[in-house]
Amino acid sequence: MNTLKKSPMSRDAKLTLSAAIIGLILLFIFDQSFDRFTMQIFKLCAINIILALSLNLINGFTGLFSLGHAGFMAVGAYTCAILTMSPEQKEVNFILQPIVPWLAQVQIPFAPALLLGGMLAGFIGWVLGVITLRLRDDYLAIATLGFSEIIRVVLTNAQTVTNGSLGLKGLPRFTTMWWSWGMAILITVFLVLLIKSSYGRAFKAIRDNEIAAESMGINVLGLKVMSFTISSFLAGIAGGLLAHYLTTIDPKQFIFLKTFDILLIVVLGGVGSLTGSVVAAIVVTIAMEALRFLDGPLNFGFYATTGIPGLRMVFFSALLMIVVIYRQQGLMGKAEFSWDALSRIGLLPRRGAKAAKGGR
Amino acid sequence: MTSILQTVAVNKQFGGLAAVSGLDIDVQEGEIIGLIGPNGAGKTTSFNLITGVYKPTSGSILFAGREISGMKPHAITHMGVARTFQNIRLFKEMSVLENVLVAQHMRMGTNLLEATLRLPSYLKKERHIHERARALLAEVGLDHHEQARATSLPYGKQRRLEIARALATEPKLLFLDEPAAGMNPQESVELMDFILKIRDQFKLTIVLIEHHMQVVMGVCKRMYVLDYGVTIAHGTPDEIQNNPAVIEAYLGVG
Amino acid sequence: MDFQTFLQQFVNAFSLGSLYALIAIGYTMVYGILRLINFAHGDIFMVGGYLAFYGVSAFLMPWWLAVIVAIALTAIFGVGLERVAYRPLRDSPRISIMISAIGASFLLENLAIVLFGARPKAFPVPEFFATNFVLGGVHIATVSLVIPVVTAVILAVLIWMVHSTRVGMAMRAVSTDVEAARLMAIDVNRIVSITFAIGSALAAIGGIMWALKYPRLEPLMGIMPGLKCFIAAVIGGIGSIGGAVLGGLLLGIIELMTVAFLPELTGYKDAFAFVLLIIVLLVKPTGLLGKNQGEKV
Repeated sequence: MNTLKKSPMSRDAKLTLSAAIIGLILLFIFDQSFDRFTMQIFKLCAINIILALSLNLINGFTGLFSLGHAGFMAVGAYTCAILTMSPEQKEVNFILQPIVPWLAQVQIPFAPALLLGGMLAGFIGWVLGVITLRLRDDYLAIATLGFSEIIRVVLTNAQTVTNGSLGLKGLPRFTTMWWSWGMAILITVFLVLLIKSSYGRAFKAIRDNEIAAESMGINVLGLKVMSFTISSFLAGIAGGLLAHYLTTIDPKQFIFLKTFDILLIVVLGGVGSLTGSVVAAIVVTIAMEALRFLDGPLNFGFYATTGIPGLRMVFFSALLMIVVIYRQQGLMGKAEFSWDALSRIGLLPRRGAKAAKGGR
Repeated sequence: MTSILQTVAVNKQFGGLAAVSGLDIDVQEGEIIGLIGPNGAGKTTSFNLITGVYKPTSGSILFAGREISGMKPHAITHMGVARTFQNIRLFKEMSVLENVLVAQHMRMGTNLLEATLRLPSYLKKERHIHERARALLAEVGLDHHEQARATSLPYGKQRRLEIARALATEPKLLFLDEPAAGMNPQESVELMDFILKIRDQFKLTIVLIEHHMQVVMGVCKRMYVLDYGVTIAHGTPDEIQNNPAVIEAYLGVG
Repeated sequence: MDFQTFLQQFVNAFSLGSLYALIAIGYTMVYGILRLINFAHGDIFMVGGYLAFYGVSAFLMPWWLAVIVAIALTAIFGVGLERVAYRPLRDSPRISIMISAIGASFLLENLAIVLFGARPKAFPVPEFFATNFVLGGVHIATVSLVIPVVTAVILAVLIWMVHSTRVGMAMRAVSTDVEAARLMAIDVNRIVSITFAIGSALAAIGGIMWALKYPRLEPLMGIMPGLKCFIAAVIGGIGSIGGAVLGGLLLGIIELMTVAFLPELTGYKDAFAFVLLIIVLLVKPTGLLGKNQGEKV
């Protein structure tokens, strides 16, 4: 998008606006016509888009290898859940030990709870970032993974705040299609604007050559922390949406496997491509559901098995390894969607004779 | 004329190795100073010490009278010190234009809110840095390669891009680390003219590491000669050329 | 608490620490050579345990034979893993090889679920190990004594090997500077394979001893120990075998002794390793016995 020209709406802007309108109409149609099951998958796609984009922000665009995403999701999920539960629901859940008094009567609407969940996750991300972002990639990976585990252990043991390993059940189903996709679209737009701004260039410079970036005046540690904080905040929001989508959460949901699922999406889509993350999030979410049959009874005609749980994940882990070994750049590498790209492959008429400067 | 840069008894030890010992450099505003010596003499290490990439083991570094040793590189750059790298460190995945744009992020004075909301104040700043970036690229003759990926340029052009990028940070003091590496005599002459031109045009002080004697002798007013981290000679090109210690350092002991 | 209980707990802690040390050595050796955190190491540990189990229960081997076969097979398996998952990425950015390692880890875990079943199996503990004896009023399980002894022996053998054999010297060369080692006509691929073989064998021994101490086999049993042992290696100084041992012992002792003195923290036991890690990474990132590796600018 060429933001420099002040001319009447550029071709890009017109195309984007039309796509947006068509998108909104589609969402309306989906909302009316999808059956329950399809709708659930559809909502999950949106949540995974947010998760993948936020992980890609740090891993793909800033070049930091963080494995702590599940921890921030957990913080957002629990914060949002606890704040929106009514006192009665809390009583019902906290059977082992009652909830701490100062939380017992608190109940706020979904929107502020979601925001607070994100903010707490972002704050914890900020703290973790300040502490660990000076570390080299492999150490950072372990430190963030470790921190995610610490969060999980704390959640499992803080009986009077989180209900420990019993988890929280009966959460209100706040995550409608509009909430999930609305947030996904909002966050995507935000990240696109961020990446295409001077900050985005600075992140990419840090990724490409940290020492040179620092020497060109970029406050590398400061920006790494900024990127990490934003990412954690978004993961927290996704966590809150997830909590009110599943309506039940417990610490065991936020094990490393959760981060792995998101990492899988980011790698498949292309580490460093927002478009790739969006596409991969949708495809992988659907595929995970579709391939659930692998875990169940299989009948090849000549050979039938009763359920083999784990086969599905065997498939996905093998897929991850194959992609990372044979096609590191995943689906899109570092390329992004642009209307020009569609012109190039012939889906749209080409632009006029004047050179298309900037289009990306 | 005032001292824009002073290093006082700067030492750098790496474990048991003394990479730089007793560095006492004085650079006046507007000068072009050379730093020469055999490979491994500690020249790039000296650059790294002054620009904050390494912390000195002891000694002090003063830029425009202020102590900068121990400061982080980006803060030192903010004060007005820029550099190029011996083994080119361009931002590989970014375009030529973006490389120069990102070096202006520091001076943009923007904030996250303004940038992501694309407020008019931000758009104005973006326009300004785009214009400035294009002007700098024209200065180094790369204006027709804006959109090319930085690493797709031939070696000589990559070096020029590095210089343009360093200039984009609006420095007062510029460190060039082997800018003439890989250039033929014709290009070296052009480089000499270019260095003199940017010194005058951007009101710079320049410190130069070079092995191309023609370039060094041609543009530098004074030179420091390093060998095994120690400054073995200091003076004008004529004085250095006739200095026996220098000759020995380069040609080795018999 | 009285002295006897203290001693009891200490013996347990030391035993656990030696186990951690053994597994940490495998991590540190691989990291030293390849600069790779082998996320799958903990899962190789699990594979060793299962192979021994099947040796005894399915193939009806005598126990000692099953153990030897399991160790050998695991070593071969480790070499195979390196060939398939890591060698192709030798020249790629470090992130890629780490992702491959994570993928390999999940793959092994889920393959284990598919092949062995998710339900835990009881490990066949031979008579000898199930006994206790009493020393100075303290009940010590034979297992708890065997483990540190085995670790010490293995450590001695490894140190001898690394410092006194040509292979060991080659390993040290490769971990210092791969290119230079190659120029000295060292077959880097062979050294890497040997390192993986040794590391995997150690993991298998660790897995079997773990199963002797905590006789429950399940596909995900390697995750926590694997993670903790990598942390132990980092705490001690990654790349240093002595550091791995120190880190392992330290971690085991801190884990069990803290819980012994403060039982209310039992639930948080698993988090100790991570907290320790973050502290060490902040205070001395190269670890207690580690060396600095700078980057040329």
